[in-house]
Amino acid sequence: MKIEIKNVSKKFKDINALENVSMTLESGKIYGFVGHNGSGKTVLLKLICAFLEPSTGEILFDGVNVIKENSFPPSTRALIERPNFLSDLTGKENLELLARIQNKIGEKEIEETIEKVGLKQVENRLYYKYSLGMKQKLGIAQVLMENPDVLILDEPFNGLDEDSAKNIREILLKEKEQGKLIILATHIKEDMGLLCDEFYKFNDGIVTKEEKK
Amino acid sequence: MKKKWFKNKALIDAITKTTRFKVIFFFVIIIALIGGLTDTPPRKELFTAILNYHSSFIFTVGFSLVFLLATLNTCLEFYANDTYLIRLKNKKNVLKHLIILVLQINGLLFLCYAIVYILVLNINMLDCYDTIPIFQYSIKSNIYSIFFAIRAYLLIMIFMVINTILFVILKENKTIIINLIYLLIFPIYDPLVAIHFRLLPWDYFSVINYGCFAKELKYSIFYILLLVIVSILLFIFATKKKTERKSL
Repeated sequence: MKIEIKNVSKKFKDINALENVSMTLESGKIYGFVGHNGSGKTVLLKLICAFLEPSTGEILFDGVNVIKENSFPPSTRALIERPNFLSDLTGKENLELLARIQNKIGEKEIEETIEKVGLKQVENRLYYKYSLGMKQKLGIAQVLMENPDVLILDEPFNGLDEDSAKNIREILLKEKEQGKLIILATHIKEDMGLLCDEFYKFNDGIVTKEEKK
Repeated sequence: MKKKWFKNKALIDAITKTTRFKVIFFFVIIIALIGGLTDTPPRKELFTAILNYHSSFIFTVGFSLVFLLATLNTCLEFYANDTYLIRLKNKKNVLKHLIILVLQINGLLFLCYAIVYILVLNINMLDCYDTIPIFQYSIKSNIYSIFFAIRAYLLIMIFMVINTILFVILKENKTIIINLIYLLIFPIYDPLVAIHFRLLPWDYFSVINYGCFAKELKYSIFYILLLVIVSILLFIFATKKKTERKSL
């Protein structure tokens, strides 16, 4: 999978959220979007997911402009901001509900993902009883479970303790080895140091590529 | 089928637990109670009471508004769930799912309204089940009431489908404005001056003499079909037009 972002700008009324952003993202790499809150990272993630449309420019998935086709990007899963799960279902039921939309996976894959992110002990607990960290893990689980080609994670380590964060990092590195394209956004660069192959720095809508030190 | 029901049941449960929905539900029950408790015609026939209330201004405007709010609430809640949306592959599927959800939630509201209204009206009217002729029609008020209720149900549902599509095309504020303009026409519009075929929806929430029942039935079916065609055209337009959600 190759994502080409070509001269993309996004305006909200008089505010320039993103200005003339261009980059090419390819499979088998982890990309880090770093910048302070409100710098435009989440807007770009939403544009990539086709939840928003660019004011100018285009985003191509293997050469296809999905926004023009009124589609969402193929084989892409995202965790952007607060995941909106149903509070009166258990963690596992929430995943089952999402899995049933496309019916690509069954009970086995859901169980494996729950185990992988470390939610096995609480899979049958109602979502509203989950801690912030558990909610975050469930959000990551829904991204992973259907084995997508593109994984988009906005502030994935929010609310996670050190061990859980380490576990998620290991999972993401394994996903990368399998050829996945992973985009991580965070306002804390230290989160990404060990993980990312390339960095993009966001500053009030201006995006610049940073060399990995 | 069971899986599909589970999928929608979970979403319906989530939406009906929101505070906004509870407020809307409260107003639906109030409208049912007002109708069931206060509308007692001189001869106290149950079916006349049903027709009187459901062709009144308070009912038509109040009912339209609460169903509009229920529809917009469903749309907003649905679009807030991006993990769900991205799995629907394209925006045509998103709109299809949303319309089904709107119909299910509004159908549930309509059912609750009907149960409360009929229950309270029956207690209020006790055993006054007499039927009276409707104009010079060949049917009596009991059959006409059932026809009236089915037509009202179908019209409300089609209008809510249209509002759902308008929400996707124009966003919530413009949809509310369009509906308010439509609702404001009602008090200044006199259905008696209308020509043979009636285009405004209010005519179908009023008891109007068409000369014979067959003619009213024919016009009602034609009007409903017309609205279905409008909905289909709007659906095609909405799925072709590039739309993004402010809320996402």
